[in-house]
Amino acid sequence: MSRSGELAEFRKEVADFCESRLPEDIRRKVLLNQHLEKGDFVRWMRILHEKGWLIAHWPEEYGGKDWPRLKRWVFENELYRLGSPWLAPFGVTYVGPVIYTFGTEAQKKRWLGPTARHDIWWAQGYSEPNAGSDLANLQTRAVRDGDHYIVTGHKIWTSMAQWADMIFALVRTDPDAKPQHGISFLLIDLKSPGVSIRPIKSINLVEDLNEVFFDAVRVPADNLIGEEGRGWTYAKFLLDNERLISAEVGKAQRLMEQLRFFLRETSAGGRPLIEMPSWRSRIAELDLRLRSLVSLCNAMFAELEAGDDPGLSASMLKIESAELLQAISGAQIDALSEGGLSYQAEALDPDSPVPHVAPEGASGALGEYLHGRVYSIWGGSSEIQKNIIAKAVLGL
Amino acid sequence: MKHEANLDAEVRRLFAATVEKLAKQHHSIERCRGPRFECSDEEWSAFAEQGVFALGIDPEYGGLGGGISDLAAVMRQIGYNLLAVPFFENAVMAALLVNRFGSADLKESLLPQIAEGSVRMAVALRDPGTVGADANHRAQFAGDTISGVKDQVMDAENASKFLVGAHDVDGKMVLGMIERDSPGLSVQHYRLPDNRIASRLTLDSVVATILAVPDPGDIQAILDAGAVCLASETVGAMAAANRITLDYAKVRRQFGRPIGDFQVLQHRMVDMFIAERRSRAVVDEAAAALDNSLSDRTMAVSVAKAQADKSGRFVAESAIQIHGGMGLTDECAIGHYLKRILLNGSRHGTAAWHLNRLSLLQR
Ligand SMILES: Cc1cc2nc3c(=O)[nH]c(=O)nc-3n(C[C@H](O)[C@H](O)[C@H](O)COP(=O)(O)OP(=O)(O)OC[C@H]3O[C@@H](n4cnc5c(N)ncnc54)[C@H](O)[C@@H]3O)c2cc1C
Repeated sequence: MSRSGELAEFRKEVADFCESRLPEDIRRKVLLNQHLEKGDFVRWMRILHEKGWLIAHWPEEYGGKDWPRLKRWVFENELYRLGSPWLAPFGVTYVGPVIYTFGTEAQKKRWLGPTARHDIWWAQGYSEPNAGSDLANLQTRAVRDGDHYIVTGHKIWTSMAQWADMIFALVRTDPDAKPQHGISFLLIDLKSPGVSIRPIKSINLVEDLNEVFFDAVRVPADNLIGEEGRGWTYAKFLLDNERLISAEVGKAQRLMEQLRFFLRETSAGGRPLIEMPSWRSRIAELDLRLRSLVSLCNAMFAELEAGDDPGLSASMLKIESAELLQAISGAQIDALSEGGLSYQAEALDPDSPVPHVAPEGASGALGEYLHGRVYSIWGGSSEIQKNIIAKAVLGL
Repeated sequence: MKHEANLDAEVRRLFAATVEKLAKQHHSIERCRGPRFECSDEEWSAFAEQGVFALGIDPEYGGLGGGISDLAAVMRQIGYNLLAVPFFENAVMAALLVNRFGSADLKESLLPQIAEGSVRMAVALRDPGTVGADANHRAQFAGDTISGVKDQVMDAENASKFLVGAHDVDGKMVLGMIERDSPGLSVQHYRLPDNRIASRLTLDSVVATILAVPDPGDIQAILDAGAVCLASETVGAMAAANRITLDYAKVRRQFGRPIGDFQVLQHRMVDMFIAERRSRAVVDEAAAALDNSLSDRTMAVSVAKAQADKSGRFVAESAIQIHGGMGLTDECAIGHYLKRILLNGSRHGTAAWHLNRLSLLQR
């Protein structure tokens, strides 16, 4: 069978599985962009793990199936298209691969199993108040003290730290080296004495962002991944993976479906919006961009298999998908506004007793639009990605 | 109120200074953060005492006789300072509607009360699932009562009277005035994402005082005046978002320098600045066109509203981008400006609705 034939068959297998096994309550929350609890994410990821899919992109020796990146991407996006929650990537896609690529045998033994089963919720401790785009400026200090490091500092924008057991943090072990050279990659138990977590309320009114403070926290030196001072290399390896999975075309497809739903449900002058020529051309335009992004992803992932540097494709895909996701949710807001959008904050909470006045999914769409501003900011902003491409690809 | 009426220059200057001072006093991002963001009695009284609600009302009813341009100037301050004061509901919409459609008796009794702020009114013109820009209303007037549903009514919690759009058995448009505690009226409040409270009114044969609307075009004209005022509020919000962003770009440092040094952000901020100035220009011109009953005023209104809504989105979304993660927090003012801009964009005709109207006016 041809490669694309195989993938089509696989896509169907994923879809069938998702249809039959994704718990209905979870799917509903996702389709309405409502708030999910930790348990919702974990429940679904465990189901996927049982099926052998959650870490299938890992090498066989660590329990995976050696899936190529393209297959993983098809897998995730088929799920997202059908209303699967986001597969929390912190363990299975971010730190897991760092550990099996750069860790010691003892570290692999200790961390990979629970990470694969999602027994550990990991948080990503990169950003600091003065180290956002300029990540190498990070100041959190780790000072060696016998067989421990003493960590002091302040991380910010740490997603879901409130649920996390462990954090993989970039820390400065050598303040005298050049910024990139004095950084190390350290695994820190968030229940250690000296760690405190403060939630940050977001624009979409949820509290999934946090500040994490380290006040002389003792961390076993065994938790240092790879070599001291080489953390920047591991951090970039991880960031490439982070940017590659940002090409969430499945989510874009789901949001397009929802947009069409809003356009069918809403009328102006007695006609559903979806019949209006202006809206039809706008949808066509978005569809054009979406289909182009899918093709671009196919091309990029094929090049990756041929051994190209993932960083550059990652930057390109991240820019394109951020803009597309934002354009689709922007169109949703326009559609809802035309129909007399009654934004209702309460409707974001599935358990709210207040009767909903907004069309089903409207408030969640607003939440998604507001939250979606982040696609062009996190994991390296679009401006930063363009700087990278200008320099590294175009040679400017 | 005559649209062409306008304040003399000195009165206007003094008034603007008063409003600016008041608006600054009541500006508070902490209050925007909720859980409920509404105009307190003190805030209401402060505006009333300074005669702000009297601005557009005829001197013969105790007002200052200002025009749409004057009302729009206040709306700009409200947008700049993100206030909850229901100036739009009272000094703009209720005043214009009562003045235009009220009987001589009603005008005599109600307009002075609106002017001095001794009555707080809400306006219920929008049917659920409609664009809220035109004069089609599904609510029905029969006998002397109205039945139907109205959405996105602002400040309904505090209002004692509502003006409700409806049509009678012959399909003719009417306006009904109903009292807060009327039997048959149920009000469901809900929180908007900017923490203001909106309400859905459900009317089941609610007794109403009727204001006749001989020509629906007259309602359209007032909805248009409202559209320009909301666009002006959006221009104020844009101006604030631009100022805040510029200040931030000067102090936020990455890579050893202020982020405002990066050319790509400079260009974006220039675009934002131009978007604000462009919107201000069309809104001012539309207000003047209404004040002077210019023949192309409909076109001017649609240009103003569509331009302000689109530019407002661009400015606020860009402002967030330039703030980075900070822009995604509830603590940061920018998100609150974005939400106000979005809500204004969904009232009195969206950008798409006005664009469509423009397309119909093309020859
Ligand atoms: C919802 C959310 C979740 C997040 N989750 C995590 C997480 O789990 N873990 C984690 O470590 N971090 C996380 N982040 C942080 C995220 O990665 C940073 O916000 C991002 O790196 C940008 O940094 P900053 O916010 O400091 O913005 P800044 O770096 O201050 O950027 C501000 C603006 O300046 C621009 N800019 C900066 N430098 C340049 C330049 N050289 N040229 C042109 N323009 C420039 C940027 O593009 C941006 O527009 C999260 C952020 C958000 C908002």
